[in-house]
Formats: sequence, structure tokens, C-alpha cells
Amino acid sequence: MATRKFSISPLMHISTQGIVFRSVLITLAAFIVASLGAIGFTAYSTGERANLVIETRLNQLLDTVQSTVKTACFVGDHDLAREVAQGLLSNSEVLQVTIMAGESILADEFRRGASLHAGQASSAALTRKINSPFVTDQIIGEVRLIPNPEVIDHIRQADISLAAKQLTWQLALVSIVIITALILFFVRPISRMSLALHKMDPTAGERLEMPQGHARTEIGLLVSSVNQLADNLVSAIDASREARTVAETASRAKSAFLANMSHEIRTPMNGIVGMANILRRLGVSPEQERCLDTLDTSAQHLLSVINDVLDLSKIEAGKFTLEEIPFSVESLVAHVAAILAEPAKAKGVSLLVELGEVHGNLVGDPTRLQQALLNYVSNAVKFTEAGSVTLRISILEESTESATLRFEVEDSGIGITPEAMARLFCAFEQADNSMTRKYGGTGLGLAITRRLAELMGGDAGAFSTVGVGSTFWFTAKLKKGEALGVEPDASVDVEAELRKCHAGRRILVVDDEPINLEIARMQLADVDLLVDTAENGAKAVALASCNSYAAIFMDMQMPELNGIEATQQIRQLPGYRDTPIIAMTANAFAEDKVQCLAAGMNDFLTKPLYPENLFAVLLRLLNRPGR
Amino acid sequence: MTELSRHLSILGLLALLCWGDVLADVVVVVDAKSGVERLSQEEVINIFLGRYRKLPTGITALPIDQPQAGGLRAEFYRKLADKDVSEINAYWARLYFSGKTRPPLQANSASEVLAHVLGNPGGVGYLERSQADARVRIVLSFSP
Repeated sequence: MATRKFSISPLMHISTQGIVFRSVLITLAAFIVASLGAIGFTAYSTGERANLVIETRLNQLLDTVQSTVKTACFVGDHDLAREVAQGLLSNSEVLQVTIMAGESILADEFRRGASLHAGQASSAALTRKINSPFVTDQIIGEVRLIPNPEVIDHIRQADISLAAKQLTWQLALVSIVIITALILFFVRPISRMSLALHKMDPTAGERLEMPQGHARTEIGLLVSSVNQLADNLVSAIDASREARTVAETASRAKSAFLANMSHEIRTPMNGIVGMANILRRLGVSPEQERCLDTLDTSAQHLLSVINDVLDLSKIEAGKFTLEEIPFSVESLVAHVAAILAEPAKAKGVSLLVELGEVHGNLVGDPTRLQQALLNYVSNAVKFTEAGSVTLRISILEESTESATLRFEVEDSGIGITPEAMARLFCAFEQADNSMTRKYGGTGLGLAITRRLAELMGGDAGAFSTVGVGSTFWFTAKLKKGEALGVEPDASVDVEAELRKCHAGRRILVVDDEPINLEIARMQLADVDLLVDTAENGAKAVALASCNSYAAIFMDMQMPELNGIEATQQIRQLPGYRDTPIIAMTANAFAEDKVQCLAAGMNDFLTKPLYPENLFAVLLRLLNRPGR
Repeated sequence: MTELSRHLSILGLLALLCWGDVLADVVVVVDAKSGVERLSQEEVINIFLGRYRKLPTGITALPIDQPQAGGLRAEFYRKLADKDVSEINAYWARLYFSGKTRPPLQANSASEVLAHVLGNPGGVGYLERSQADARVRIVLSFSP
């Protein structure tokens, strides 16, 4: 891992944010400060040095002319003294020469073209007493030399520039050493480590390799820490994996339980609803009719509760899939209005529809849109005692591919307090627990609407004034679709059509529940169809092999041979390749439907069976083109 | 005289051993009638090396050197200023071109020195002590 090829030169790692760059920056800054100090000190000390150099030089000059000066002073010879002075002035270091013999000035020569600053000159002046050439102790005069400040400056500048040069070289050297050291001991191992870390798969047991020679350095410590972290990570991952397995098992158990519950409730429900329908068809007195209505309403309510619970659990489990079929918003809204027209009228509440500019066909899940909208509208009707409920649809955004629709339901009802509003869209919450007693409902409707809106790429919400009314809205992003095909003609009387075209045809109904068989038999006999029944898949296959059936209704969960296997076997029988086989099950999950269709079934009916659904599916399949 | 010369030669030998090039006892003399009683060593230096050529009496001093060849001149400057002849020559060479100060007159013989001292009012010369007679006055002698 750490031995992976490095195509990038380590020098390339000197980015403007890198350690090397920063270190060099700091080194440079420190060095510049130090250099300024050093140059300042040099400037000061070099002044001293320049003075010393000049003094030494002047002394040497004086040594060479000393005996001549002695002579000149001894005899008081102006010419000789002047000659000596001029000789001294021929040296650039000398600015002025004064030779005195006792009190009298023998010579006072001054460099032409040089400017003399009195203070500066006298401070650096060099005076030498002149002894008699013949009497050693006798002082007979003196020579005073004033050094040339220009030369002093020159020496100083040379010194300073030398110091600066030295510092520059030192800086370059130190920088190179620092950069090299940093790259060697720091940047390279770290960048190697980072690269290795990038490619490391800790779950596969991979760990960072210890960089050579870094076992006891901070980098080695870092590597150990990273490896330690990787160990911890791996054990944490293992733990979470285990926890996930447990959670998934629990989730599967919950789903299975829900499916089971749904199945177990739907089976007796089928009996209740089916029998009520049969009773109604047999002819009842008006009083009995009212009893049957109540029975129906109660069954409907119970069913809607089951469906809500099932929907919510599917949405929350992420198992909810939306259909994508073309539909018309107008007919959707009209349908919703039609469903609630009766209850609204009964309460004296007017139901208004404002369908703005929305028209044309969209692609989406009309069943779920209708469900979401129905939740709002039925709530609005429920909580409004007088006034109106307005259903408003508008377009928020529109492009060539899609449109975002806003559905709004405004009522003049009791309103909702802000505190209650906060909890409104949460599952299993109602504005007040007393609501449940007065108005009924599962408290899941709004939660489902919001989840559905979210699934459709929108959102849901509400605003309200207590005592004035509430407005509930949701948005949905829908694809635009081509024009709808011919809509099923609702005006066709399915039962009459079945009697007219298919009377006397033989139908097989397969179910292990005798009540279900009985209901199906009665319903189908009602439209003059001949019905055979089988209690399990094996018997169904046997019957199908002896007789010819126009259609087969097949339960899914049965002893001996279940619906799926029975269908697969029947399809193998001669003449049954295209025979309509309709699943008839209390299993309401989407995956059940998928499984049925995959096994070769043509359609899927959910228990409890309503005669209108049953007849519609049967008629459609029997009238299929090509049959 | 042989006795004396023998003594002298012994003395000279001793002097040679003790003083190196000390060969003779040099004295500075002036005309006995000049009125100058004594001259200090410094005064003699000033007169012979050109610094100040006036006698205490106010008369301009006229110094004269012994011939170059003899040892006396070297002896004199050695005693007077502790200088070699070469140093003295170099000294005068420096002053030669400015021309202001001249070296003492150069005698060709010891007798010419004596004649110069006696013949000029400011004449100052040096002799071996033995050559100094009554006509001249010893104004400075160098103690051994």
C-alpha cells in the first residue's frame, strides 16, 4: 500500500497551503527579521571597523613619512612639510593634513573637491606627536590627519553588502535544508500515508504501513492512531451491521404481521360485505335496507382503516411504489366531488370546485392523488357545519415535460389552533383526542397525504384561523402525457352486458374458505354464469383438466397447492394458455400483485370482493380482443 | 711617546671592546675669544643639524664637519645624537632639495676645522680632545 508508485514528485506537494510552503514562509519571515537586525548591527559595528581600518591605514601612512616629518619639523621646513602633506593627500583615505612645528603651522593641505563636515572630521581625526629626530623625548611638533569620510562610507557599504550577501546565501542554504528536511521527514511520509489511507479498505483488514524510520516519531504515532481508529471503525461497522440485521429481521416480522393481519381481517370482511350484497339483491324491506346501509358503511370504514394502516406502513418501509399512468385532472376532481357531493349536501355545506387553468392529461398515480385529495375534502366536509368547502387546483410551475400542481381545500369550519397545527401531519395524531370520538377517523389521513405528496415530489401543509376556517394544500410534480385513450364507458351496464354476451359460460372459483366460495358463486350466478368451485389448487387443476372454463378466479393462500403453483400448472394444460385467471386475495401488498402477474394471472382483485369490481374485471377479460 | 701610544692603543683596544666604534674622545670647540663659555648638547644638536644656528652671544653659528673619511665625524654624531653617518647623510639628503637649511661646512682636514673655528666669529667645530689647544675653548665634551 505504502509502496504504491508515486508518479507525483514530492516537490509537487509544495502547494500554497502546504506545510512546506508555510514553513518556508515562516522561516523567511524570521530570517528577514533576523537579517534586518544583523544588517543593522553590521552597519553599526562596521562603522567602528571602518574607523579602525582607516586609523590603521593612516598610521601606516604616518609611519612611512615619519622621519621626513621629523626632519621638516626639526628644521621648520615649510616646503618639505608641504611636500609630505601633498604626498599623504595622494592617498584617497586622507582628507586633510596639518603639520605643526611647535605653535607654527608648517603645512595645512586639503583634498580638493571633498566636502568637510567639521564635526565628523574632527571626531575621526588622527593626531601624532612628532619627536625630535635626535633627542628622543623631545616633542617638536605634530601631524594631524583627517580621514576621508567618503572612503569610510565606502568601506562601510562594502561591509554591509558583504554581510547582506552572506545572509542571503545563508538564507538560501537554510531554506533548502528546511525544505529538504520537511519533505523527507514530514511531507513525503504524510502524503504517502494520506494516499494509502485513501486507498485503504479497513473492513478488508487493511492497515497503514509504518513509514520506515518513523516508528518513534509523531508520524508513526499518527499511523498507529489511524490504525487504531480503523480497528474501532471496523468493530463499530460490525456492531451496526449486526444491529441492522436485527432491525431488518424485526421489520420483516412487522411486515409479515401486517400482511397477516390484513389477510385475516379481509377474509371475514369478504363474508360480511358479500353477504350484505347478496341479501340486498334478494330483496329486502326499507327498514332492512337501512340496516344493510349501516352494515355497508361500517364495513367500508373498517376497510379504510385497514388500508390506511397498510399504506402508511408501506410508505414508511419505503415499499410504496407509485403507478405511472395517463389520467385527466378534470375527471379526477370531478370524481372526488361526486363522491363527497352526497355527504356535503346532507350537512347543508356547498362543495365548490375551482379548476383554474388546469387541463390536459398528466402521467401519475390517479388512485393515490385521489386518495390524498379525498383525505382533505372528506375532512373539510366532516369539520364544516355550515358554509362551503372549496376545492381549488392551480399550476405552480410548468415546463414542457412536467407540471407542478397545487391542490387546495378551503373550508369555513371550526379551524385549528397553532399548537394543534404543529402535530397535524404526524401519524396517529388528531387535533384533539376528543375529535376521534366525535368525528371518527384513524388520524392517518393527513400523514398519508403528506407522504404521498412527498413521493410525488411535492409537499403538504395547512393554515387556519380558529372559528373562521382552514386551508389544506399539497403539491405534486406530474409528468405531462399524451392524450388519454378511450376512457372506460361508465354508462355501460356491466351486469347487463355480462348476461347478454356470456350467459351460460362456465367459471371456476378456487378458494379454501367456503364462505368466499359461496359469495362468489352467488354473485356470478346472479349474472347467469355457471360456477364450479374447488377448495384447493390441486382440485382446481384436476377440474380444469376435465372441463373447459371461460375464466378462473383463484385464491392465493390455500392448502396442498397454492394459487401461484395452481396457475402455473393450469397454464400448462391444453387450451388454458390464454384463459383469464384472476387472483382473488386478501393479500393487499404490491409485491403480491407482482407475484400473481408473474405466475401468469391476468388480473388481481383484493378481498373483500365488490360485485361491481368483480363484474368489471370479468367483462373486460372476457371481451379482450383476440378472444 | 711610545709609552703614550702604547697606553693609547691599550685604551683604544679597551674602548673598542667596551664601546664598539668609540675611537676617540670628541669635544666641541669654539674660538676662545668668542665669549661663549658652554653649549648644551641640545644647542650643539640645533647648530649642527640646522634647527637653530645662533650662539648664546647672538652671533650666527657657523658649524663645520670633520672629513667624511675620518672616524671622528661618525664618532661625533654617535655621541651627539646616537646616529650613524648614514642616518645623518639621509637626514641632510631630505633637506637638500628644499634648500633652506644647509649641512655644516665640510672640512677636508682636522686642521681646516681648527682654522675655520679660529677664523670665523661664529665658528663651531669638533676635535679630538688632544687636538684642542689653548686657542680654542671646549664648550661641550661627551662624558664616557
